[in-house]
Amino acid sequence: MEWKRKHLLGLEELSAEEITTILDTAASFQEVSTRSIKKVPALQGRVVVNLFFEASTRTSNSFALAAKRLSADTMSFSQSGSSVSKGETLIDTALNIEAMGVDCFVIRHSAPGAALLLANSVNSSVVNAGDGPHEHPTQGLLDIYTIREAKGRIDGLKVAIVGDIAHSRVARSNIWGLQKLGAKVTVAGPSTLIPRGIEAFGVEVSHDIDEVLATSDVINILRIQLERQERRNFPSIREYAQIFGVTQERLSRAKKDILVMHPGPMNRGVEITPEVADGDQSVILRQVTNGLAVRMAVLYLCMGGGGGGKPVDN
Amino acid sequence: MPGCLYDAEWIKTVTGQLADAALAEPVEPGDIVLAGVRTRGADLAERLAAELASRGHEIPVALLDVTPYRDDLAQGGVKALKGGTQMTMSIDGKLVIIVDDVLSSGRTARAAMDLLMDFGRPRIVRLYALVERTDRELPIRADAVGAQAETGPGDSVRVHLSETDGVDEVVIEKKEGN
Repeated sequence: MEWKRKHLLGLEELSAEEITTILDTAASFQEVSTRSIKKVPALQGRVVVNLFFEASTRTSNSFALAAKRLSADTMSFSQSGSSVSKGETLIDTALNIEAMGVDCFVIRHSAPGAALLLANSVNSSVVNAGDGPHEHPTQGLLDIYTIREAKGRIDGLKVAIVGDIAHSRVARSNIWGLQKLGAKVTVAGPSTLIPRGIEAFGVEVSHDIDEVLATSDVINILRIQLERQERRNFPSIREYAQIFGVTQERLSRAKKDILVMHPGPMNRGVEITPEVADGDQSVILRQVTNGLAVRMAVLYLCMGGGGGGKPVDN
Repeated sequence: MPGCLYDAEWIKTVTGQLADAALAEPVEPGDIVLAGVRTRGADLAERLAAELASRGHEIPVALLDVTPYRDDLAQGGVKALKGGTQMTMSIDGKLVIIVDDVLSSGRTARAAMDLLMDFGRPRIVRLYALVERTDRELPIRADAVGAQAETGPGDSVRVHLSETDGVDEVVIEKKEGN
């Protein structure tokens, strides 16, 4: 087993062995959620703080439940209704909370690098729940876990990520993690939503959803961020849905055992139709279930399995 | 310096004796559940179940991953999990036999009991082991055991099983001066 880190800030800096350690640990925690008493005492009495400066239901609830399943105490902080509206800085906020005696911050923030800044400013463990468009490591991990669970491996698989790649931290984390484990990644979408030069990451680029569907083992469909439409990255939502939307009809020409994934929340009828979302190839709900086990693994590993241990170089 | 050694034949004999002990418990065989502590205790529990099956009794086996219940998680770095706990049967009202390779400090057995209590309410809990060390740290003792080992701090008792280690043997190493 390979784990000496106190923080999880992104997948870019992790080795393949470290990622595998997280996945294997998650596999061992999977059954806790199926028990009638859904708890193990591993983090009893430790305190995990959700520091969410951006809206979230899925991720914040998933982390809170994961902490509780490990018997940790949880605390939640959201931007509205806090002193941030009075001008208190991120670091001050965290230091003040840490002064009450906490062990781990789970942070979501709109600024890339916010999690790293926090990790360098506090004594507690820090887990990145999304820092701007930079990384969302636990989403990448649960996506990879879901693929491994369904396909038995990552190495050699062809994984396509479709949608607003340019603004997507989910895409970035997936790209880093999948490539380290040997998958071949293709990003697809309108050219206005795919960063120029992304080929330097070792990914292929496509603007043809049908071509991508025909050759992929996995398709990870990203949410089209409708609120960004006023920037006119594509002419209309209807046109996006027509050209890139994954419909049952398009899916029928894909590999029979293709895996359909979506990090949520879905815009049913835009990037994905209800039939596909609820269909046999979809593992979207499985992703959510796996997210619990993956986050339990991340908290367990970063918090030293119980003791903070000595701070280590991250 | 490696000391006393028990071999595969001894392990086989003890497995048979543990099966005798299980069948001598004050319950019907149908009310027994074997709970093997991963990793080697689980292998032993499977062997015990096979022995009991050969005598006509199908006894279910649960596999316990006690790692999240350990009392030393705060020391010495993060501990790798062992695959999670597999318990597909109810243990309410059953006689649950915790099976482990070596009973040392008693802390693993304590953790195993806490784990069982999270799953239900066994009527009786027993502890079977191949070897029981004499240097216990908690007031816990085995109900059926192959052999006792006179050991002190620094001594090691290791059970190797073919499932994990490729060979069946018990190796006892006493520290210099012990």
